[in-house]
Amino acid sequence: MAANSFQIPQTSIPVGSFETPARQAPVAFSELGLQVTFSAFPANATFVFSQWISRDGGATFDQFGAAGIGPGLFDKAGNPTRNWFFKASVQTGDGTPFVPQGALFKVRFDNPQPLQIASGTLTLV
Amino acid sequence: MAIAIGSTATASTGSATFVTTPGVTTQVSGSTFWLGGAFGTGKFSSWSDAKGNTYAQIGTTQTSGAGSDGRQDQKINGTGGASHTQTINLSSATYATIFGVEITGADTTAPLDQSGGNVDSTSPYTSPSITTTVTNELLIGFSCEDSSGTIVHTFGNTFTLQREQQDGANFMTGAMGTRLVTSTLTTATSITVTGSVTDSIAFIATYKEAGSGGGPTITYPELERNVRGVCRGVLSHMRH
Repeated sequence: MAANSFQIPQTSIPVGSFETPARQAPVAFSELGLQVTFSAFPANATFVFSQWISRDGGATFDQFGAAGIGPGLFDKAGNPTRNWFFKASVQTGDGTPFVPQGALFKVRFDNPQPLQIASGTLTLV
Repeated sequence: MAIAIGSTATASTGSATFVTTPGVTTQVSGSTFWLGGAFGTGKFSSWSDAKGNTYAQIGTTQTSGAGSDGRQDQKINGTGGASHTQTINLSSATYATIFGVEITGADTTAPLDQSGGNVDSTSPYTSPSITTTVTNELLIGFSCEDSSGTIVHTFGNTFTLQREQQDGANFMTGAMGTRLVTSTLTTATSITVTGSVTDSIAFIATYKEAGSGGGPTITYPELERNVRGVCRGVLSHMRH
């Protein structure tokens, strides 16, 4: 797997807020993509997914995009699915990557029902 | 200050009730914020903003034959600062791709000059043609497509690609580009794509630089003649 990609293993997400440990970005990036396959996604389930970055590696994290689901999870054609996709990107005026190498990033789920991730991939570009 | 783009951002989801752009640092005051979005038809609810800005729609919503809506909105002379995010809220879970642009150096009262939007099913995907009215303007072009597979966008008419979404398998694809002009002109957003596209919604919006005003240009000799004329009128009035 490329240095800018992370495999998300099978994970149980408890009710409430679930936050991954902060990791150091191995590459500078301006774009974050996430693909998640849930083991099951009940029709009435909901969640909010958000990404957080500390560009200077300090304790203060800023939001790097977010999306909320529910009820129901659908593919682009409107069919019920277990696969979910999100992508966000940003650029400042000087053209350099928005998040420098070595910055800290973490992702967070807020969900009122327990969910089970079967697998996923997080990509930094 | 010359008109320019500040930060730009985009966010996409295959299925959500809201999507939020990354947080950026924008000017505390004086910037105009432009937003463009495309999503499942009839699902738009509102825009929200981490700085409390409220947005007004530019023109009308365009609906593609394949069943997607596109729209553009703006906040003139908005509030900015650190961790500035913008969110599209949708009435139920659907796909959405959104773009945001901070415009610095624009007129702070009525910066929008020209705008337009339409559905186009044939590449190059083209917005309505517009004619700018003042010399220094920032043009924003934006398109979203009902598509599949990988879609690569190339802007024509000297626009520069700023942000794009290429993944048609999982998202609504689209692109946003800009062009700075220093003289009036007639042009349109024009985007050529590689890949499988059913329909496109193409928009354009143009913004005036601060101080351009959009009113008639007056030269110094004209100004001097006008002032002299006013003074003569006042003196004549006082004599009587």
